[in-house]
Amino acid sequence: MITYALRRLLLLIPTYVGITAVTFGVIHLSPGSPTLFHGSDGGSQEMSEASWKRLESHFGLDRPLHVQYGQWLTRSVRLDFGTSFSDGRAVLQKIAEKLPWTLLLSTISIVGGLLISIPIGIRSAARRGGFFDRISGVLLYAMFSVPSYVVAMLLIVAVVVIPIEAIPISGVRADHFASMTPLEKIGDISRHLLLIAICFTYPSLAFQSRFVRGNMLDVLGQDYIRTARSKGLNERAVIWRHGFGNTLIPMITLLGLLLPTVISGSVILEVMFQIPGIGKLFYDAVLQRDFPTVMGLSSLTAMLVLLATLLADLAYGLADPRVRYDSARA
Amino acid sequence: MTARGLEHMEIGAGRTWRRFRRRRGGLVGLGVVVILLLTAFFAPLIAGNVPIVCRYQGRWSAPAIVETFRRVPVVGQWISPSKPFGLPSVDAKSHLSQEDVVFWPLIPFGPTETSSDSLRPPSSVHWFGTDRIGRDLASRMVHGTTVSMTVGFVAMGIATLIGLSIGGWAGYAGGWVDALFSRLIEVVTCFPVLFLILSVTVWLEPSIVNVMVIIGLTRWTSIARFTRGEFLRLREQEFVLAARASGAGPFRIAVRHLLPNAIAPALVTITFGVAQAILLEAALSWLGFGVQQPNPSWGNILRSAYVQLRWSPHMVYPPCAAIFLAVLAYNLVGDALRDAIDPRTETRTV
Repeated sequence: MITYALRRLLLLIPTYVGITAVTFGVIHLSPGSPTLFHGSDGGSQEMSEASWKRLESHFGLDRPLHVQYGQWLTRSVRLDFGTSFSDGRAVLQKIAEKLPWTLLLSTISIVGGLLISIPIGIRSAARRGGFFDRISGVLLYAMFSVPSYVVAMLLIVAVVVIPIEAIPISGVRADHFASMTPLEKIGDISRHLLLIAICFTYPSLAFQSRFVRGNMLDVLGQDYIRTARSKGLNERAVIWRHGFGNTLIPMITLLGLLLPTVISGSVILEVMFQIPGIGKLFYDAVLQRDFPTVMGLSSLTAMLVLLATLLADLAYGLADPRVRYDSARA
Repeated sequence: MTARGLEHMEIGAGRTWRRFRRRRGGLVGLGVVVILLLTAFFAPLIAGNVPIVCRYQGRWSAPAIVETFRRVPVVGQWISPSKPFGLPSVDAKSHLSQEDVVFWPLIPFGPTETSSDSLRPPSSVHWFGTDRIGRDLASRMVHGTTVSMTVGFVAMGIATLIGLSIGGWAGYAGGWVDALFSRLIEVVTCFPVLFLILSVTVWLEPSIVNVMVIIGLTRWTSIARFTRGEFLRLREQEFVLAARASGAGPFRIAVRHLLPNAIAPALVTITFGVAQAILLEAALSWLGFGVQQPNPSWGNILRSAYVQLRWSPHMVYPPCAAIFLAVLAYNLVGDALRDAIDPRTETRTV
């Protein structure tokens, strides 16, 4: 187990280098240097001169590409992603400011998603082929084919056309937020986040429910379930304790897979609802050709994805003593 | 030897098709996919401001038909536009009079043809209404289909080519080649695709070609993984040994004998991949990094609908419905295909 964990940790290094090198290379090898574009991007000559200097000193653009990348890499390990072009602040600080919104939404979506999808999955597995199973199957299947941004558009149209004044469609705070009591503040933020939280939760629902259902069906076909039933245990205990308890292990890997999709899916939704999170920051950075921020966000996301997958894998091993990592897996 | 390889393919394909045909969902999905593809290909005949066939000043011409084939890559370069209506500067509607014989497309508006009827709700003239500068939404939707289908197929074509080559090579060669490619697959799987595409568009001009290439370059990993697995399984089988014994080289064995037998799982992934590529293109165009105005795409129609939301919500529905339909159809086909290929999952619902 420890050897396996160490091996996986070591594998993180080439993977991280690979991802950042590609992003770095793609940005740098593209026709036109970042400085050139930044200068010609409408900003005053003085501004572009200053940013060119900053860029040159930070990245050493006069040196060969691999040297530049090496420098960037050693800095990035210390989480130093340089300063943003657009406002000259540290990239890490900018990210840290925006992260809470995206994390809040991700948490809501993962917890909410599980709370809804686990009962649906278990119910359909328990009465397989029954009315509920068939209806939820068809509905979830259709939902699976509607991307979250389409749902978002339809929700916005519904709120605007009906109209529902109580639900704002953009931003995170009302204008008079500062003068509110703490309780009103919570209410105001939740009203603002209601629609986007639905859209964040929505995409994982279909997949998760089917995932739970599939695993439940596997487990319910096992001998020990028949044993539990034949010794006279009531159906509830069979389903929840013996059945669901044993599907928890695959669920752990699912959580590891969820986080990255939630974060990268956040760009379009956050732009749509004007939420100041990671996705919106990335979008703005791209529009402003803010190279250090783009690079910093890409690398941080990659790191997060890698860590989440690793943790899920390791948790899987801890939770299920039957899983052994000794044999070399390709 | 060759006959045997083909025989494998024939039996596999025939059996798969027979099982596929039994699935209603899959057939419906396939039907929708075919309709979408036909719409995409014949877009100028369905919607446009150039006549399909007309008689003008005593001469017969078929400008929209010529235009349809002019859009085919490579071949299209040798076909010259049908004068005078095939030329973009000529407005066919003002040239043709009542006496001329004209067959107009079903939707007689061009996708970029503006008019003074802006933001009109759906009517018998404009089926889906018009946008801010008076362009017919139905026509834009039809021509947007071409974009979506092209992106889906070209992007997945690139991904398939890379995936089959790398997966096949890794699975067939084994050893350190396999180890190396497996790491590569792991690395690329972790790429945040949307972030990467956005990063690239920072320094490249946003264009549909870039979008297709990047989706293709990042979305091949699951195809490669499945192909590798199949090749690993198949390469020890007797028919491969027989082929090797009769002197076939590694490339020939891989392409003629292994590939036809290993293609099935990859095919399922490719089908789902097309749906994903369509979604990704729409998302990118919505964000403004995909297809650029005035060219229509489902994504940028949705974007202009978002901008005009308060005044004309009618613009939201057609692109939403189209995206849903296309993705649902590809998912249905992919699921039916998977069930048809792997009989163990026969009992799945839908």
